[in-house]
Amino acid sequence: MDLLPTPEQELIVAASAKYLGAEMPVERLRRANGSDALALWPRLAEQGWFAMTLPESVDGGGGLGIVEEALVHRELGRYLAPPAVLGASLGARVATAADLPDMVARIVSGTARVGLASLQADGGWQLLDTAGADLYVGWTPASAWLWAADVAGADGTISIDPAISVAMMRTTPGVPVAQVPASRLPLSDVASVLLAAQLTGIAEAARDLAVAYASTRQQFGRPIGGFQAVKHQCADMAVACEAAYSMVKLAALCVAEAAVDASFAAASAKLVAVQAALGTSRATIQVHGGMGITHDCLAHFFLKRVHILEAVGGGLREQQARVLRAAID
Amino acid sequence: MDGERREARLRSWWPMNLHFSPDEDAFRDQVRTWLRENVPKEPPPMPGIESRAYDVEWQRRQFDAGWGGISWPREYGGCGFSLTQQLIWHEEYARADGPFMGVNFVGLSHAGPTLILRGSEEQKRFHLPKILRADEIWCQGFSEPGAGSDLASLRTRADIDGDHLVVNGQKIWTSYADTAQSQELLVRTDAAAVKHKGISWVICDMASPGITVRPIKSISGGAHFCEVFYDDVRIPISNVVGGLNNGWSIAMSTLAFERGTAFMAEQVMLARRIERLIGLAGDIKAPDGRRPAILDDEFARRLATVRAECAALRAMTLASVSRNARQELPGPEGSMVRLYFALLVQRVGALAMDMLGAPALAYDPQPHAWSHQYFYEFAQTIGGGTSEIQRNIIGERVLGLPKSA
Repeated sequence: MDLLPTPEQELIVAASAKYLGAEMPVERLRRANGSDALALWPRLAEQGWFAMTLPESVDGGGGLGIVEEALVHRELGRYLAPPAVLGASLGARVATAADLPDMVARIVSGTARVGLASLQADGGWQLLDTAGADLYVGWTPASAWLWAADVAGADGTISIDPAISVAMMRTTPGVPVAQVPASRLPLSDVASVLLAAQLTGIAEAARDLAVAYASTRQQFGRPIGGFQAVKHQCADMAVACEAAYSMVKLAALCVAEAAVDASFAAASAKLVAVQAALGTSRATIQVHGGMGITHDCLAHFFLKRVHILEAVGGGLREQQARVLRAAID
Repeated sequence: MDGERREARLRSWWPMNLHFSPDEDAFRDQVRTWLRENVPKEPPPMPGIESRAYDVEWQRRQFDAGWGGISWPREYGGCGFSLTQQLIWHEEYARADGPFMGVNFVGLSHAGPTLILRGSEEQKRFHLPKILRADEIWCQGFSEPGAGSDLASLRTRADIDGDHLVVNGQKIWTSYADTAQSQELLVRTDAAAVKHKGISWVICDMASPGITVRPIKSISGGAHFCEVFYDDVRIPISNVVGGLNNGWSIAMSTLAFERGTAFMAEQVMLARRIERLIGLAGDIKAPDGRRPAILDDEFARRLATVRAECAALRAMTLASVSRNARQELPGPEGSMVRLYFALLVQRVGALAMDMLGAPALAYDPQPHAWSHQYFYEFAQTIGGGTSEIQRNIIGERVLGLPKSA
């Protein structure tokens, strides 16, 4: 039993983190206009993030597991990478399971861009990262789908998160391309783990932003991080981040090994990560005081992305229902 | 130690995984079988004379079968188990509904490990075997009425008189002082030194003339806390552990131990308690009197949340075990697990009270009663460092924020 990343895993993560830090600083979102993915796209495919877990026999396939992928998605979360990166990774899985090699190649090469579709209570689907999306991937605990984007109605409008566009469809998101049952591909669990990993990265980035500000901002002649009222908020952020990160690693391992309690662990990871990310990004705004409510301060970008990712594949209430229903070992 | 270090280095190259080795699986089978056949069938009695006999008898049975000191090194009569083996033991112990170690807690988890780390050979030889066999019950004399979170401001004085210390003062929150034979006692031996420097850690014989013990009744109805008064109590200087005026660093090594591994068993017991509560929610009615409580929206959401959080607590525990397997002393990260556990266990208690409603209001002295646990768990954010102190540790030593005024 070991829950710490190995040196090899740390190398994989470091390579992604280096690219993200240099090419995709969160500051870019100050000028975002609903199509962050569109602006970044041609280069993102080259990073290998779309096909990390596909076998090496597939062109671009990384031959890695969901544990490594989750560790990388934590970094993607930290830099608020476009949700379409997750869409590509999930879409390539569905196309692979449905034995559509041409479709896999189009997704992995970045030729076809995959937005995310989330089922709504009224039977409609909410589409995410719609700008220039060619395909949509969606799932329930029982099944996963890939659709070709239906041009009519899927244009989308800018969301609360200025990097992303959303659309609401009354029926399906487009023309069906593939459907795969969960017994062949437990996409819901995979998605929950990767979303939880991104949310954990967001929580950690927000925590780091708060700690950096609290260490330098002076009031009453000293850094505000020396006051317990501020320090304890930061400590609570650290605890929430540690809980979320530990749970993401545990859930990724459970899903990788198809453990009996994999669905429980995956839903728990998303629940705990949503709580950590909401709590941390809200408190980070507070720690920044007046600066925290300006567009220039990065804190709000984190909070807005948390609300977006929470809704993907079923929000907090849906996760709670799954956690309570789930069988555990 | 060399072997352990080598093992730790090798481990760091293993892939991240949830598997136990074949040896560890065999160990788990062995532990599970022994516990199933030996854990006392009758629940522990209420704290008092009977519970002391119960705790002592259970510790002896474990010791005689070779399970005497799970975390202790073999050279001092312990089991010499790796952290992973300790984790397995605690998981199986909780699964078998093993009783809390009760009066043996301070000896096995505080005083013993401190003597192992800092005691003289003579002190170790005399006390350690007695602790393992429960021939000697220990209590802790750290806190004072004026020295709680600010422990280093303690004022219980020890004056040197020949080859003895003469102790005067008062301790408080001393668990099991009314039944213990020995006490780990912090006293001020140099009043002129700055506050952390003039403290000594001494072994106090609780039968010494001049000691008065007064139990304190707690909010859960139990009374294992005591006040202890010292009136010219004479203690041989040879009972000082780690040299005069070194007591602060010695006390800190004990507290680091408490923040390190003590939560392993608590985590598994909490998971079982939550599963019992979920089961109960299917049996009792929601406030509307029609549906089971588990179909009530609010209770369902709160039950799901604590269930997921308890899974995260387990993940944090596994991460902490993995981390501690690579370092000699537990780091400040232990405070994060401690704080998360304490707040979670209190939320579970509050949820049980809300869910049970009126029936929970009848006084039930059984330690397993939901109302008893609800009140008892208030101590979790106070004892062993309040949650405010834990947050200071996390803020300063994990996040690197400036020290508080």
